[in-house]
Amino acid sequence: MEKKKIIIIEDDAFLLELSSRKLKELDYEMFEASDGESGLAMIQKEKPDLVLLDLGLPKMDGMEVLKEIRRDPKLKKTKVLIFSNYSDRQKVKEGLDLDISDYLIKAHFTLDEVVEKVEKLLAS
Amino acid sequence: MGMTYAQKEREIQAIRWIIRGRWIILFGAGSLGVIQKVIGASSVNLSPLAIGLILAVSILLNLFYWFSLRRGVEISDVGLRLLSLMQILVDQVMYSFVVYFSGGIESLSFVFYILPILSATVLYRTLGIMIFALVNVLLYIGLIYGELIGTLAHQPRYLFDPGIFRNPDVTISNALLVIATIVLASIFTTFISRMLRAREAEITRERDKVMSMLKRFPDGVIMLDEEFRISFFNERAKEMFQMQHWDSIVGRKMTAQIIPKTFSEIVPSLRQKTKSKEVEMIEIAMGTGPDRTIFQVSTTPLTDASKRTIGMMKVIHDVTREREIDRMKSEFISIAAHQLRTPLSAVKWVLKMIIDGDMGKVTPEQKKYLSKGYESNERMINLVNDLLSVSRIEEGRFLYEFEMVDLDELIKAEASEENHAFTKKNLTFEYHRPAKGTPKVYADASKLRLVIQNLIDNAVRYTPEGGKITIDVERQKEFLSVSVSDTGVGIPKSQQRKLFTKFFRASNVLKMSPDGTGLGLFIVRNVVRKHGGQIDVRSEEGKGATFTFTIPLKKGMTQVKEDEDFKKFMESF
Repeated sequence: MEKKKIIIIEDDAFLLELSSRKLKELDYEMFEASDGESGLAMIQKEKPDLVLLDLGLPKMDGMEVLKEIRRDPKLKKTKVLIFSNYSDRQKVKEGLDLDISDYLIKAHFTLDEVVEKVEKLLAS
Repeated sequence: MGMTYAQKEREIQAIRWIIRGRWIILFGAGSLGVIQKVIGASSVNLSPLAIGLILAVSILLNLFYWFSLRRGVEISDVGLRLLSLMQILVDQVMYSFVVYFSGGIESLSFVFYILPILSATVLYRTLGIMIFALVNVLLYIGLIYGELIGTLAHQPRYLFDPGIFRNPDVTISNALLVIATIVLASIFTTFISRMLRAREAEITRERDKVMSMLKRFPDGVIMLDEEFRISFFNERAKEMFQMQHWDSIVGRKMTAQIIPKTFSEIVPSLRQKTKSKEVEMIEIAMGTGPDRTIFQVSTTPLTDASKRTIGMMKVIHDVTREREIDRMKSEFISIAAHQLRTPLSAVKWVLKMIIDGDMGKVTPEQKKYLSKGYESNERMINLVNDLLSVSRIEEGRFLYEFEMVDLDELIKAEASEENHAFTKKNLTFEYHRPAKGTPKVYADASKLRLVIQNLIDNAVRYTPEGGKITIDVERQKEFLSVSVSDTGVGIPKSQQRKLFTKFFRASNVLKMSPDGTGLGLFIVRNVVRKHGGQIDVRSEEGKGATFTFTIPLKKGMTQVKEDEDFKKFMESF
């Protein structure tokens, strides 16, 4: 079976490196982007199984990226996991309305817990 | 010199009282005439026609006076002055007719002359009263003299001749007595008038003192009567509504025509009566961009000595700047907190990876210290969460979702989460529930969890090893009361009052646990209050503390509605 593709869009280089490193240990094909624009381009090109999406991103806000994914018929079904440090209820609700798989607050999860979520999502 | 609003109001009131009094006199005099006709018919000669006519004219006049005052203070100054004058002068003339028709020099009706003098007491000052007395004396002398020389036909009082009319000695003696009565009565009333005025002046002085304070008050102050007629409008209020050019606002009705268009949105709040006898407050935001202003309008019902509502006072406070600063402050905290979370996440992840051996083997010693570092970092994350909660509470964005919540479940879940902490400090935990089970409450589960978690956390933190923590749930009439007690260090009496304020930390715990934020109880109190409950603390230093909060059992006791209003207001930024 082909390796599942995961794209992480995260502007903090260290967080990106850590999460990517953790997921690479498992059998996934990892792609990394550090701003919204290049992230979206990468999603369009690679058509990943899962996107780990930060919200506060340069060039294009994470919520905008999510809207673009949902607007594109070819990408519409992509699973998106919001992975942000914004915790306002409005943001969570906005995300849920855009059919996200989950909303994780980075500071509240260890990477192991994140990986667990990712595996569960990709298994289903 | 024009009359002030207050003067006019006072005079109208006085005239209204005189009119009322006159109805009684007219009724009494009418009845008296009838009675005299019946019982004294044999010796007293009164023309029923003349007396009837005088009575009829007096009734019509009194109706006319009443009618003239129907529009209250809107009557012109001249009209009002004339009306006051008539109250006395016309009565004096009418009573002169009564005296004339009841026997002139023989009449006993001169006692009625005292009545207009009494009216003058409330409407005029010393000089006025004396002039009216003089007019009265002249009227009487004219009447007697006219009768004497035959210009006026004598109307005998008695059916027999008592020998008074045209008897010079008796005439002079009687006339002098009447004149003396009028003059003495008027002198006496001038004293009463002075006393009344002195008392009034005292009240006015008090009021003026208050008024001059209100006039220069830094907030806008408007007073209205029950019909929303303006009785006071201070300088600051004029300034706030850009109405400096207005001179005569007092006496007009508070309508949209009075307040300039830019501020039209505030008019409903200025025309709102309070639902209770308490002060009620509302915030109104107007305009956009740099012209945006937010006024806080508080309404205080005004009552008289007998507790009857006579109007209201509106105090308008400009809170534009305060709200803007609040907003900036909350925004700053919010951004800072989110920014803090990113490096905190990195530290959390890295430490966790190293502890778990992802980065290579670590010795137990290293692991122990790394774990401590990890825990410190967790505390920092919690602090950031608290900061965000506070900024949301203050911004009004701490949104609530109410539903029927099983508090018992919630407490059990929280207690089991703390289980390891209890064991670690060797604390006994007891949980007492109502015998008939814990009824569900109308609450926001996640917020309520925050309350219980905070209270248990505090109890654990400030209770020495081997202590005891107890949770008691009790059912009350309309509330469920939850107490969290501990056998910890307690809170000094002097500091209990400040316990629930933001960033407050009691002096004794400051040394014990320097990393507390002082935000927990602030959030707890806000949540409990938002649910329509109360929170109290009972504590003795060194012996422990008991925090008791209540949550309503039914819907409709929460403050959701107010919250929504506030939310809407916040969203209008």
